[in-house]
Amino acid sequence: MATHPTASVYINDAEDGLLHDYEVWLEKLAPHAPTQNYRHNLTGEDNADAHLKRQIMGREVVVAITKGRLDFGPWEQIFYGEFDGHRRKRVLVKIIGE
Amino acid sequence: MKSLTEYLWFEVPGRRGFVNITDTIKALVRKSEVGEGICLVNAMHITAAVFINDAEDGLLHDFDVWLEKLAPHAPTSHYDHNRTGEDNADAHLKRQIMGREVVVAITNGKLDFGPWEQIFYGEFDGNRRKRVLVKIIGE
Repeated sequence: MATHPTASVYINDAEDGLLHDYEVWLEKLAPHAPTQNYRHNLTGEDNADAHLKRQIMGREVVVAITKGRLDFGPWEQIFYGEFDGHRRKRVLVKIIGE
Repeated sequence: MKSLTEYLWFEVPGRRGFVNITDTIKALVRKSEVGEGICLVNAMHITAAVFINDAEDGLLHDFDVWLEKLAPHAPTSHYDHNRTGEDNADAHLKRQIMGREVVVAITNGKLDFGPWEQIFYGEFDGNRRKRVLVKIIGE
């Protein structure tokens, strides 16, 4: 799970065209500019769009472990999605079971 | 710790559709004999979703119309992903809005739901066989 509210962890396809499509689509749904269109940016931030983008892409994934392995379908890949970068951020990984 | 792993198969006719799988998941919780724990239900394919919402036909129609507006199927040439020969880029986007998985608490041997929660499988690139994983762990 992403521990910052302007980043995502999600599962989808490791295909460059699709990653580009996500980028274009998220910018359309939650444009960065004009930054003054967002109330959040009155705080001095300019990242309101990043909070919205992360909400679409999700905060965390939960993956089953079966026989010691991630129990994935054929194309599932785990991604970190950054929407307000140029700074250090953390992802938390918690694994439980027997 | 008890655990149960099951795979559910779906073949939704047509490109898109929603299937209420709540009763199936309830039966698996009973089969697991878990009293206190959690139940993970996730799509194993990246153009499908598992989500929780209201089992009301009007709303399911509204989801369909809304998703098509947010991530239109056509023109397919607008998506770079479709240059791979696929025509399902929109399905990857729709699934991202609806979510890959749900995690539901199990309390006293039952899914601990609010009054209207129902579990759905959402298909956005159908006409083929796809799987959903159910993992139940607890005591």
